[in-house]
Amino acid sequence: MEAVHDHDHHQPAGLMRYVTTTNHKDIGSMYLWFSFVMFLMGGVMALVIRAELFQPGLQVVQPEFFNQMTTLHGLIMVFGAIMPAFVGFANWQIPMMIGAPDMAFPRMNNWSFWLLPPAGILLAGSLLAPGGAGGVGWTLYAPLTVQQGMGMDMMIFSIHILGMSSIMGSINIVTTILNLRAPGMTMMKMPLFVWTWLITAYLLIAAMPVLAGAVTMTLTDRHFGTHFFNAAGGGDPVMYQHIFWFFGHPEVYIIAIPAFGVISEVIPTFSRKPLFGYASMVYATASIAILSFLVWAHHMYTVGMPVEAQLYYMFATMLIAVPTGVKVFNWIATMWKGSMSFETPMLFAQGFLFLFTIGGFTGLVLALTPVDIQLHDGYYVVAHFHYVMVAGALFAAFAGVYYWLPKWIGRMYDERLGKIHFWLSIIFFNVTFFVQHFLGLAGMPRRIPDYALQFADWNMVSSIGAFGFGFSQIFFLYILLKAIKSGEKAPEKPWDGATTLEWTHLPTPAPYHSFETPPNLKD
Amino acid sequence: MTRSFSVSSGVLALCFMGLAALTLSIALVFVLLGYWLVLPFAGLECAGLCLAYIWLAKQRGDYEYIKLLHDDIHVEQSFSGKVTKSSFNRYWVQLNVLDSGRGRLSVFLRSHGNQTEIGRLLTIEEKKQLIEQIKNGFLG
Repeated sequence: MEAVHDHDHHQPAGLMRYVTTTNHKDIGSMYLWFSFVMFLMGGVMALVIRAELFQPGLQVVQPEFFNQMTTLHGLIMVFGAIMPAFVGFANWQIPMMIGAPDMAFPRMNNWSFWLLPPAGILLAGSLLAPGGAGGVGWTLYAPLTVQQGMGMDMMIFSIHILGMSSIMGSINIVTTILNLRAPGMTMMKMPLFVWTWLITAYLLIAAMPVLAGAVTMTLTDRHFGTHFFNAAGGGDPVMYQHIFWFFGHPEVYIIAIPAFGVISEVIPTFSRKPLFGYASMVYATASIAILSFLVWAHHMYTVGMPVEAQLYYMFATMLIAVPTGVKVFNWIATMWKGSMSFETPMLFAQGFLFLFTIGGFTGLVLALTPVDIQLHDGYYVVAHFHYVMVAGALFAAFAGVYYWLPKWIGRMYDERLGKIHFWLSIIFFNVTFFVQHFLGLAGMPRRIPDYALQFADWNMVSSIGAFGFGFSQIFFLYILLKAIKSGEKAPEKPWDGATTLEWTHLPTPAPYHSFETPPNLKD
Repeated sequence: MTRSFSVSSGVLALCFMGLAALTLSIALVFVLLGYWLVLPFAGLECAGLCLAYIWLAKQRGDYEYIKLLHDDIHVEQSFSGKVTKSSFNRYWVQLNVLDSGRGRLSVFLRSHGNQTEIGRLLTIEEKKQLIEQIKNGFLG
């Protein structure tokens, strides 16, 4: 373990350690805890939504508040929970996986994180503004955004701050991966998780200014007399949708691609085989990233567009299934004839694979213009993107946490409880969201607090599933705290199939400073 | 003593130009459609990335050179393009080591009111080796 020089380093202690830290491990932990807090907050909002939808009629909240909940739930989960969770993984893992001592710009890394809490407070605090938070949906469509109260401005400002944080994080990640690799760690030898983050960082850099521009134009339309999206003043509200989705569709992949990276580490480890088709995985990920910029209008088939445009967006969207299929094939081929074992990370990876594939298939269904026109803004869409976001990104994040937790804290989680967490999650997830396909096919629109009687049964089932899923995640918190407080000491390499640098070149738990001298990997 | 980099300046410049071209061309399309407010953000982002890469490019030429010539220890350092030279008499010079206790170790040569920090490009282990080398080989 010559990469470690930790014996006489003193770790700074107390609160100031976290305020002033430039250590990638501290910052990674803070990202992960922040995302978990936001995940619980967004989850509670989801439960408010599901409580209201348990029965038809208005029982729990007023319609305005319901709209605010759907909006904040979406924004908090996307920008506050899932994105920071994967940035947390990036912070912890990228330097250790490429043999770097830290991120390229450690002070900027600190700033990237500390922008998040004020942004989160602004976002959640918008509920307390006169008129409450914006009740416009996470897509913030004009012209509804112009008619909102001060909470809308707080949300816009919050999105700006979150965007700044993402940009700084991306610049840091791109620079770290390009410049700080250990000798011998060539690009095509990098772990796939590192590759997926390199591609994601490029996506963020390309997409974020577009979102910043969109919400700034919304702000100037609201307060400074511009008419970018106001038809009465010569503007175009549909253009807002184009601009938003030009960001929004790559955003889906900004969330999904690092999840692919986690899964590409977990499956080979627990199959005890190298990843099948490494190069094709890299090219498939890059292809998905490029295609993600070319398909945005499939979110807006119903705004009225020429049939040629509809055809283009339909076929371009279906094209994404090709590189995605390559990835799924490679994951399955990795497991083929492998010496597989099913510890909790692998269970979540299997859950991801199974459910993300369902989400992908329903995505293909929605890519078909005539079908989408029927299903648009309905519960089929809600079911589809929760299969992608929850079963895709969140399950991958769980797989990653269980996989790397021994490396991070030096203690093992309780395997039995981890497996219970998995089974509770996958069962309640499907109880919640699979039935929403039926609701969507039957014609139930999304973002409504009340509904017709024929939708009552499946809504009741879905709400029961949602509460079960929510409580399963409190159980996850218990598993984490138990592992941190009294988990068994982790062996140096708890996963015998792991081959990346953090497992082969560093002790467990990873020391506060690692790879101050880069390992030589040229042999 | 030099810094370690895994990519050449040329490749880094190419990466930046590729990213900037992509980001600015996306913004330009929106400008042409009248949605000019995307452009300042793309510009800001490119400026941020540019600053980061310039910072790295400046560090690329950093070096530190310590040699013993007759009875003088000569130190030549270049950080971010700024070259400084200093020399100390080996019989008068003091070697000061400052261990902050927070994972930082600073090594100074000091004499006649002048002080120069050395070994800034080294890891802590390498700094310890440097201290031993100077104590055993350089000091009078």
